[in-house]
Amino acid sequence: MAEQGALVTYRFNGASFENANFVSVPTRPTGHFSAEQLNQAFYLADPMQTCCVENEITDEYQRIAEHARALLVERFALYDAIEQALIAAFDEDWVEPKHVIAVLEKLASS
Amino acid sequence: MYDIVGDIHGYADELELLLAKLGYQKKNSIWQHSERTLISVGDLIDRGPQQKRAVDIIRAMTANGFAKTIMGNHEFNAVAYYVRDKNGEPLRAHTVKNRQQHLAFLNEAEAIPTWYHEAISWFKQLPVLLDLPELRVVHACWHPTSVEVLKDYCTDNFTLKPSYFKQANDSAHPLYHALEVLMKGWELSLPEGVSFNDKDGHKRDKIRTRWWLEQDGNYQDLAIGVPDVSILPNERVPSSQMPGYDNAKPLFIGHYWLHESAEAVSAHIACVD
Ligand SMILES: [Mn+2]
Repeated sequence: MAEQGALVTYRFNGASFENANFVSVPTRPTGHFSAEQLNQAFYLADPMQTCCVENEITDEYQRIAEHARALLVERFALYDAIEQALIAAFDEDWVEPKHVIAVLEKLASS
Repeated sequence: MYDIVGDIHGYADELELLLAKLGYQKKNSIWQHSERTLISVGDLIDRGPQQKRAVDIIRAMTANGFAKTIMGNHEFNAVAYYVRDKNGEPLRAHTVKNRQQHLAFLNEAEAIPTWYHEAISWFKQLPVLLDLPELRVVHACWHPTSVEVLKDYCTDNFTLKPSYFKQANDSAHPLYHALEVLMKGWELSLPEGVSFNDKDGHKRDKIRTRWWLEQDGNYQDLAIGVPDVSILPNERVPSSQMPGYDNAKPLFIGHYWLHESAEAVSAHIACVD
């Protein structure tokens, strides 16, 4: 897996195999995802519903992305880095797993 | 229905990215999906940077019914490295080579002894295979004869009974050979007098195989991990020397680092590693 550079899943729905049902995520070196990539994912996901996409405010989450990047450098897990950066910027009570997952989803398809 | 995930090998960030991509949510700290169940083909550990996190994610999902997990050769080895026989000797010797292969895991586990103990207890009770109504899952090779051998030493759900871990690590015992096939794959002896040097320069007279190939292959087609297959005989391997597959159900395996992109390796077998 690691050597091949991807973590692979097959989405099984009972029918015969289809190549489209293989879903994979490339494995990355430690400290992956730049602040720019994180910013892009936060912006596209807009987890806190700031309407930044409609208004094209591409730096809406820039500080949060930079914070998440700093946490990654400190060896936080990706999920925790995104969650902590959101909590630091918003209220802890407002940050839910679905907000973090929305950002992960954008990163996974970037 | 099921999402079958390949060898995770301590890459927890990638696992969480994958779960997000597949539409899983996280509730009460546990990744889950309302309509789908994750299946891990084993090899959660070794190599990658986030050993504990990878285990914790899958273990919590499994304990709460959101995932099913089978044992890979790396979990099996982890148990053998940890468990000692009545003389105090580890079932898997603590040689430099064995420690090196297991180091990423040991570095995290040895720092948290209670977690290490719990993780090993969990690994011990992972089934070696799944035979579900819709599909089958085994880490490397589905071989009915080896499955029959295994049945004598495991519970109804193909979990090894704890008292047999010693035999499972004894190369003179049939259980050892059954587990080798199921968790590490089918090896084929080369014809008399034929051998090759592997990438480490060791002389070998057996090859790892693409055991799933449906048409009768020759040695060159079947070989995995032979640097130059042209030195192998270009002759047909008798089907009696290969496990075959009955195609009764789709089968999912991991383990093999195939260089092709992820795809079904036969009409009824998919490799997700
Ligand atoms: Mn393996």
